[in-house]
Amino acid sequence: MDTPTAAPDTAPDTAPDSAPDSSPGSTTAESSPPETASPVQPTAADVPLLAFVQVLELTLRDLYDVALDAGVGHDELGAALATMRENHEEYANAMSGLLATAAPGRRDDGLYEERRSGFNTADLATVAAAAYEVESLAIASHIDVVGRLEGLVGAKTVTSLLMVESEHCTVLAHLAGRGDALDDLLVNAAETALPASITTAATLATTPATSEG
Amino acid sequence: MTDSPPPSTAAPAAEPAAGISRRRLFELGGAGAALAALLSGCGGADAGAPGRVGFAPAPSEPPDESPDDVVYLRTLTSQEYSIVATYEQFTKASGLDGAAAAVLARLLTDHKATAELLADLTTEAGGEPFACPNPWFEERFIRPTVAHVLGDDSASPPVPASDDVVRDTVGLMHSLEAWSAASYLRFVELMSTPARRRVSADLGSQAARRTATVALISNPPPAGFVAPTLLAHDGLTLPTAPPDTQAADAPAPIPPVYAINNRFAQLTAVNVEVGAPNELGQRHKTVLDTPAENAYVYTSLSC
Repeated sequence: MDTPTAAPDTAPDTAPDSAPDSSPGSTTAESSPPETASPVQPTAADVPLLAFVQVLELTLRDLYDVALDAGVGHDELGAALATMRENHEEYANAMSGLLATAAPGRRDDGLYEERRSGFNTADLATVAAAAYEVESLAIASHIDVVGRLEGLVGAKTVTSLLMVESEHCTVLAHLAGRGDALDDLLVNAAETALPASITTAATLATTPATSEG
Repeated sequence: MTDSPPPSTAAPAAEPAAGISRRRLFELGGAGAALAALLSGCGGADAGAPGRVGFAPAPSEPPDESPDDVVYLRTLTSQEYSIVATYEQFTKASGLDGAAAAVLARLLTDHKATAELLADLTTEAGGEPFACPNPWFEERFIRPTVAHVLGDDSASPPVPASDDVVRDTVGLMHSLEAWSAASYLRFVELMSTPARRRVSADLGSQAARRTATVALISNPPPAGFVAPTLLAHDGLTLPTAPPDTQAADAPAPIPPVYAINNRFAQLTAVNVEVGAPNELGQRHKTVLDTPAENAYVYTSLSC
C-alpha cells in the first residue's frame, strides 16, 4: 500500500445531518442563519487548509492499510481498526467534495514513512498505540484548521470528522491496554502538525476559488 | 262517525319515546364530542389557534433579540452548568462505584472547567457570563428525566426511582455527553469568527471523547467499540451473544450505545430512555435536541 491512491471525487454518503427543523421541543421555526457574513463555501484561502486535511486523512488510511495487511483487524478486537480505516477514506472523500479539482488526492509520504513501522505488525496493542499517536496529531491539526477556515461548510465538515476521530482515540486507548487511564481516554495532548507553509499560503490567498455561498 | 282525527300521514317516530336506542346514543355522543371539540378550539385567547390536548408544556416564544456570539456562549455555558448540576446529583445519589464513579468525578471536574472557560470567553466577547443551568432544558428535560432515574417523592404523582439506577445514571450521562458534543458541532457554524469556531470544535472533540468513554462503561469492549450498523457497512461482522431469554411481559431492553456510532458526528436528536417500567412495560422516553432560539440564553435572561 505504498502507492498513494487518489480519493474519489465524491461527496460522502454520510455527511452530517442538518439540525432538526424544530429543535428543541418543536416550538419554534428552525434556527436563523448566523448573523455574520462568513462565507458558506470554501474560499481561496481555505483551499490549502482543506488540502492539508485530505493529505493527512489519506496518510492515516494508508497507515491502517499497513496494519490490516500485517494481520490485525480481522478479529473481534481489531475490527474497529478496519472501521477507522474506512472512516479516514470517507473523510478524504469529503475533502474532495469541497475542493473539487484542487483536491491533492495523495498522502504525506514523509509522515507515512515516519510512522509506518508502528503499524507494520500483527500485535494489536502496538498498532493501537501507534494509531493513537497519529490520530491525536490529526485531531490537533484539524482543530487548528477549523480556527483558520473562512467557509462555514468546511469548518463544519472538518469538525464533524475530527469529533469521530476523537472517539477513535478513546477506542484505541482501550485497544492499547490503557482503558483505565482517564487522561488517555479523555485528553488530546498532541500538538498541531499544520506547517507554516500552509498557513502562509492560506493567508496569501485572496482570490475566491469556488463559488461563494 | 266520530270526529276522530284523521290518521297521521307522517312517518312514525323512529324510536319509542320511552327509550333511547343504541343508534341514537351514538348520535348524541358524537354530537357532544364535536361540540366539546368546537368549544375547546374556540376557548383560547387566539380564536384562530387550534385547541391544546394533553399536558405538553405551552410553547415558549423567544425574546425579540437577535442571537449573537455572546448569546451562543451563554447558552453553551448554561448547558455545561446543567450537566454539572446533574452530575452533582448523581455523585450524591446514584450509587456509582469503581471505574464508573471515577469517570463521573472526572467528567464533573472537566465540565466545571469548561463552564469557566466559556464564561471567560463570554466576558471577552463583551457579555455577562451566565453561570446557571439552562432554564429551558431544566424545565422540560433535565428535571423530569433525572426524576425518573433517582425518583421524586415530591412530584404529583410521585415518580418512582429507576429499577436500575446505576444503568440509567450511566445511560443519562451518555445522553448528556452526546447532547453536549452535538451542540458544540452546531455552534461551530453559528459562531461569527474562526477563533470562536475553533473553541467550539475543540470542546466538541473533548465532548466526543467523553461520550465514547461513557459508552464503553455502558457497553463494555469489544462489543461497545463500533456500532454494528457501521461494521456491517464496512463489510464486517462481530460475533453476537445470544439474546437473553426474558419473560414475554418483560420491558423491552434499552438499546445499547457505542463509542463509534457514525462516520461523521451528527446533529440529530439524542434519544433517552430511563426509569422503571410503567404498568404497560414502558420506560420514560424523551429526546434531547441541540439548542434552538427558544432555548438560547439571551442577554435579557439572568440567573
